[in-house]
Amino acid sequence: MKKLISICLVAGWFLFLTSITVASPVVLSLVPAYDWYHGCGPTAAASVVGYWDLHGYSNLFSAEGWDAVRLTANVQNQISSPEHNARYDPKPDDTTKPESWNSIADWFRTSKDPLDYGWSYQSYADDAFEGYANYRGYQFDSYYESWGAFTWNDLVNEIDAGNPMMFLVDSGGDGDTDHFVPVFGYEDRGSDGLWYALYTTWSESETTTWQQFRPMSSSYNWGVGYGTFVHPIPEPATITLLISGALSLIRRKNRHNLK
Amino acid sequence: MILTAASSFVFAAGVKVAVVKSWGDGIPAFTELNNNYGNYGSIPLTIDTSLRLVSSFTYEDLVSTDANVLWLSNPAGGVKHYSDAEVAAIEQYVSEGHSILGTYRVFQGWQTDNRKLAPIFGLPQDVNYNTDIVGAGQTFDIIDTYTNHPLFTDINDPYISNGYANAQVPDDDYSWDANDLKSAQLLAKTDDNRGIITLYETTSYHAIFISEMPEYNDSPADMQLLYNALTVPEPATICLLAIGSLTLTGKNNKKSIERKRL
Repeated sequence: MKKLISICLVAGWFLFLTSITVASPVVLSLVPAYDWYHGCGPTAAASVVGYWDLHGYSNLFSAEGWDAVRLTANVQNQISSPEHNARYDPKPDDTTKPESWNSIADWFRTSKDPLDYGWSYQSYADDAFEGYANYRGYQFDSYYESWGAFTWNDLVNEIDAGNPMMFLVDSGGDGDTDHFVPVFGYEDRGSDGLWYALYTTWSESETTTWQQFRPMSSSYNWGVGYGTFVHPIPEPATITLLISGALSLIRRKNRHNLK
Repeated sequence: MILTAASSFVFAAGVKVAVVKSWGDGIPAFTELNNNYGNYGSIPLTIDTSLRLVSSFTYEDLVSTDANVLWLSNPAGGVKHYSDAEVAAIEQYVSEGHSILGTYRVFQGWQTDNRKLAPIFGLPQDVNYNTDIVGAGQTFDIIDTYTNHPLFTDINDPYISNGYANAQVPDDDYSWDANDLKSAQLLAKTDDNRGIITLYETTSYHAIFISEMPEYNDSPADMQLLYNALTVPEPATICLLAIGSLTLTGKNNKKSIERKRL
């Protein structure tokens, strides 16, 4: 009997500990991973765009379905088009080549002078999502916040709402931003800190990487500098559908109440 | 003094420059130097850009240009990779008494590793090179011992460049330190050690490297520096003139002696 009690106590203590220190991670599914292609900014943005392609916005990429979307060969021209590469890969830019507006990198101004090859400004991240989505026939709303204004609760709310984000982080641990990554999950590990789920964009076959949600520092890698929010704006037809659905729900409720 | 005399003596017929496998279109400096070299000096200058945008070249191609000087204008920035055979062709051509000028991203860019070219300029091959934004109007202080070098003829000290606002730098600390120069001599530099002008002299050729890209615009100071860099006489010429000078000195002495005898 004593033995049973002690087992129960240990089990109870263990359950208590796990309940206060470990919360289940929340991770969005079907976020495609892409290998770095002509810039971390457009590559990271492509994962977010690819997610929405698989969640009701099927014209964002020309590829259809998970298998097709996850093949970089099918989407690399939409990350950074050959026209964009011809003009902005050389340093200085080769301005004799025509400008193009047909890939994420175009709206992100990736590699555009005075930036070096592969670099993008955070200040064009919202343009990248909105401009590219508009080019593909959709309306997206995007904005960004720097660390401080951008909080853990913001991340939790976005992921809980099914919205992956894009972070600009300090992957090198020198206190400066240097890398865009797609972010699609969070986990509160209690005394072990707050963590976010990302792809590094350094391999197409990569699995989820977890990093601690904390500000940039020269003492550790992967501190967070900025968070970019990305929200599709439902089309009028979708809104009409949603409203009619909501109305019928209200009517049903009313009827139910009447009863 | 000898150098100036040599340049006018040997290059009286002019200097032929071949721009080899370099950055893309849109550089006004080539046209400016071709058409208006007289604004910068008395030695005629011809810039041949027939090899500038080629995807590959051979030693024979270099010979066919008949160039006195090769100019590698930002090849890695133009995503132009030099094969081993092309590096060997350059090495052979310069070893035969032709000089070379390299500007901006010669050795390495994100997608292009041309570090095998670095030893031709007396610079180390075993370091990583990167680029950094340095801003327009970079101010180069000329090292005291080189203020009279022909490279700086008609150039103010400090020399202010209005070229492209980036520079090729060693990747470790974005600064050209003494150990980054290996066998090259430092002729001028910016305060932050990101902009440098170096000279590497061998018995058969000299190589000038400018870590920035003065040819990007066509400001007068940048054009003057490039004109000077392209018309600095080759070492063989300097030797030839030095021998001539010594012979002349010997003759003068002989005459003096003869006069004394008289």
